[in-house]
Amino acid sequence: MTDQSASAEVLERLQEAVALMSYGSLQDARESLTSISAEGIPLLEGLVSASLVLLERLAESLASKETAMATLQFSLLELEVAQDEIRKNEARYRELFSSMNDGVAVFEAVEGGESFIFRDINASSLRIERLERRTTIGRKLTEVLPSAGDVGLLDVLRRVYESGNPVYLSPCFYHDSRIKGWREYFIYKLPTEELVLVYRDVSKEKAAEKALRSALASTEKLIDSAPIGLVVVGADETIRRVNAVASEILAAEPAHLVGQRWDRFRKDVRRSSGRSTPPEESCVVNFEGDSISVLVSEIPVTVGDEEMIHIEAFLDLTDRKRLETQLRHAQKLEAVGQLAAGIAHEINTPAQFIGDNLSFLSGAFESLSRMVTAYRASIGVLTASGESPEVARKIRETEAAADLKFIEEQVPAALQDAREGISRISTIVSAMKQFGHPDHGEKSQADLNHALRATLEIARNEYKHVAEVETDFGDLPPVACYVGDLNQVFLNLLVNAAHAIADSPGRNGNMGRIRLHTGRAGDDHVRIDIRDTGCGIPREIQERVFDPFFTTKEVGRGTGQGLAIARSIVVDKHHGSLTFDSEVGKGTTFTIILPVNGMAAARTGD
Amino acid sequence: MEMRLGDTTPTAIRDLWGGCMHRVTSAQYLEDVAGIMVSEIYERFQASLVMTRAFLTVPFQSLPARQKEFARELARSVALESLLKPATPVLSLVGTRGCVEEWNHVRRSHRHLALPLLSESFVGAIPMMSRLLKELGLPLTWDQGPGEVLTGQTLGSEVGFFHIEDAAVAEDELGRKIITAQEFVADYDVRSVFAVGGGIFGGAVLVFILFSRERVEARTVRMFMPLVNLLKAMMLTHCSMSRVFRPTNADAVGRPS
Repeated sequence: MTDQSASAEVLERLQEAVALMSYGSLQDARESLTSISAEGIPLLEGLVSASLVLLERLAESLASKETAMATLQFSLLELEVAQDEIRKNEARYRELFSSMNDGVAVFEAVEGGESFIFRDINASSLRIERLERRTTIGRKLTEVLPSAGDVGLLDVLRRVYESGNPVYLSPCFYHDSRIKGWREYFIYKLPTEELVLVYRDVSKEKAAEKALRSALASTEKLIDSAPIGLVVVGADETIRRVNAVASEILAAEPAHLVGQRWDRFRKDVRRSSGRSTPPEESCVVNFEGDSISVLVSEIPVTVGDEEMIHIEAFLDLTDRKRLETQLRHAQKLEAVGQLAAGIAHEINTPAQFIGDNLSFLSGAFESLSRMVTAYRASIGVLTASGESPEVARKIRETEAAADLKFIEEQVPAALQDAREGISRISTIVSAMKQFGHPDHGEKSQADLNHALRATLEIARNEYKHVAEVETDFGDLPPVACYVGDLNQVFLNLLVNAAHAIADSPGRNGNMGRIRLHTGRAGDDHVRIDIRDTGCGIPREIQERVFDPFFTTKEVGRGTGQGLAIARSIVVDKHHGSLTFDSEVGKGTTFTIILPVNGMAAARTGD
Repeated sequence: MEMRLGDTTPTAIRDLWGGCMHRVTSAQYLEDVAGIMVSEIYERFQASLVMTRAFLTVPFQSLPARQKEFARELARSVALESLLKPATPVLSLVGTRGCVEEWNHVRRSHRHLALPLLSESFVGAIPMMSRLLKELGLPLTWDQGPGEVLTGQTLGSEVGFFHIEDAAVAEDELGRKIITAQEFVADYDVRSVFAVGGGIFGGAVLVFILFSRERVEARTVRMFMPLVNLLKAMMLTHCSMSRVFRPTNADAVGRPS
C-alpha cells in the first residue's frame, strides 16, 4: 500500500470513528481512534488527539445526562412518594377526625389569646353538642357554648395557648340552657398556634359508674347482711373479704382477718376441683381459739386475670347442735309421757286390790282386837277363881312375848298409813290418766280446776322441795277445750315456776310459793293465773321467751319449746291469750284467758 | 437488605445500585455486568421475585457460536432464515437468576437464549416481545428491508418500562394473552411482569425483565428505571469493555449491535 492510499485508509477509519461517535458507539470509536493514534501519522496526530478528547467529553456529557436523568427520576419518585404519604396522612387524619367518637374542635385564638373561634369541628362534636357546622365555624367558643367559662374550659384554653403545654381537664358537668352532660377535655396547641380540643361525652360512663357504685353497695350490703358467714379467699389462700357473720364467728374485726391465711382458721381446707363442694360439717377455730362446728361449702370463682378465688360459705352449727340435743330430750320426754298412761293403767289394778285388802285387814284387825279384849276378860276371871293357874300364867307370858299391846296400838295406825299411801297412789295414777287424756280431734267440755289439780299432782316432784303451793280455785264453768293440751300448758308453767324459784339467788334454801288462781273473766272467758316467787324474767329477754327453742336453761333441763308450745296451744288452738308479768327478783305471773265456748271472740269493731 | 417489591422506595433502589456499582465498574464483559445486576436485583427482592433476566440486542454476526446457532434454528423453524443477516439484531439472554436452579445460568437456557428480530410480523407474533419493545420506547423499524433493523433512537438514550400488572389475564389489542407462557404463570404463581431498559451504546438495547409473584404497581416499576440510566452513565465513563460475551473456546467474541 502506498503512503497516499494508507493515509486515505486511515482518514476513512477516522471518518468512521467520528461516525461511530455520532452514532453513540463511543467505545468502538474510542478503540478506532486509539488504533489510528498508534500508527503515529504526524499529520493526523493532532486530529486524532482532538477527536479522543472530544470523545471523552462526549462520554462525560452523556454520563452526566444519564446521571442527571437518574437523579431527576429518583427525586420525582421520592417527591411522589412523599406527596402520596402526605395525601395518605391527610386522608387518614381527616378520616380520623371525621369518624372518631371523641369530639374534636380546632380553635384560633383571637384578642390576644382571650377568646377562641371555632375553625373546625368534627361530626362527633356536632352530635355531642347538638350543633350545626355552618352556625358554629367562625363563632366564638363562648357564643356557641356559653357555660364554657363555668366549667373552667375557657381558662384552660387560655393557659394552653399561653404555655403551649397540653392540659387534661377531668370530667366536669357542663350545662347551659340548651344542653347538659358530663365532659372530659384534653387541650393542646398546634405548631400553627391553633388549639385542639379533644373531648368525650362521659355522661353514660358517669351514669354507669353511679349504677355500678350502687350495685356494689347493694352487693356489699347483701354480703354483709347474709345470715351465713362468707369469707373470700384468694388464690394464695389469704383472706380477701369477710362479712359480718363470718367476723362474728371468727371473733375478730374484718380488718384483722383480711390478709390472714384461711387455713389458720379452717384446718381441713381442700381445693380439689373447680366445682362448688356440697355443704359438709367441719369446724373452724376462731381468733380466740374456740372450736366452732360449721356447715361449710366452698364456691370457686374465676375473676380478673383468670385468678381462682374461693368463697367459703359457712353456717354456725352451735345453736343447731344445741337444738338437736334439746329435740332429742323432748322426744324422750314425749315417749315417757306416752308410756305413763299405760303404766298408770297397770298400776291402778294392783293398787285397787291392795286398797281393798287393806280395808279388809283393818276390819279383821278390829274384830281380832275385840276378841282379844274378850279373852283378857276371861283370863282375869280365870285368875281370880284360882282355877288353872298354869294356863293363865302361860297366856300372860305369851301375850307379853308378842307385845300385843304394842301391836294393838300400832297396827291400826300402820294400816291407816298403808291405806293413805295406796289412796295417794290411786290419786297420782288417776291424775296421770287425767293428764294423759288423749284429745280426739274435737274439743270437749272440761273442768279446768280438776285439770289443774291433776297437773299439780303430776308436777309435785318438781316443786315439792322448793315451793309450797297455794290454790285459789274459783267457780269455773266447763270449758270447751283440748284438755290434754291444756294440761301440758299447766305443767309447763308449773315446772317453769318451780325452776324459777329454784334458780332464785336470794332463796337460801327457803321455800318459795306457787299460787294458782282461777276465776271467770267476764261472761265468756275464764282466767288462770300461775304466780311464782322466782327469779323473774330479765327485761332484755322478755320478747324472746315465746320464741321456739329459746331457753336460758342448761341442756337437759329445758327444751326451749315449752312456752312456744304453750302459747301455740292457748292462742292458736283455743283462741285465748297467754301473757306474763314479771319483775326480776320478785317473780312472774303467767295469765291464761280462755273462751268458755272454745270459739274465737266475734269481732265487734275496729 | 432483602425486602418485598411493594415495600421498595427510591432510597432502596439507590442502595441497590450502591451495592453493585463497584463490581459493575470492574467487569470486563457486558454479560458480567448484566449478571451482577440481575443477581443484585433478585437477591434484594427474592421474597417477591420468581425470576429476573437481562437481554441485550446483539448483531447476529457478533453472537457466540451457540447463540448464533440457536438464532438460526429459530429463524429456520419459522421459515425466515433468509431474513437473518449479519447485522440483524438478536435479543440475547445476558443475565438470569431465579428460584429454579437452571434459571441461574445463561448458557443452560433452552428457550430464550437468542431471539432474532427478523421482521415486524415475526416480532408482532410474540405479544410480550412486541409490547416490551414498544413500551420501552424503542419501536423497531424495518425500513431498510427485512433483516435490516434500526432501533428507534440513535443513542438509545431513552429509558422506558414495560408493565403487566396481572400476568394471568392481561391481553393485547388483538385479544391475546400478553404472557403467552400461561403454564409458567400458573406453575410459579406469577402475578406481575415488568421490565425496564433502554439503549446503552451504539444502539444496543439492554432490558431487565422481572417476574413477580407479588402484584406490582406501575410506580414500583418506575423506581427501577433510574438503574438503567445509572448503568449507562457508569459504562460511558468508567468501562473500557466493548465485548458482550465472555469468550469460550468455541465462541467468537460478540459486539453489541
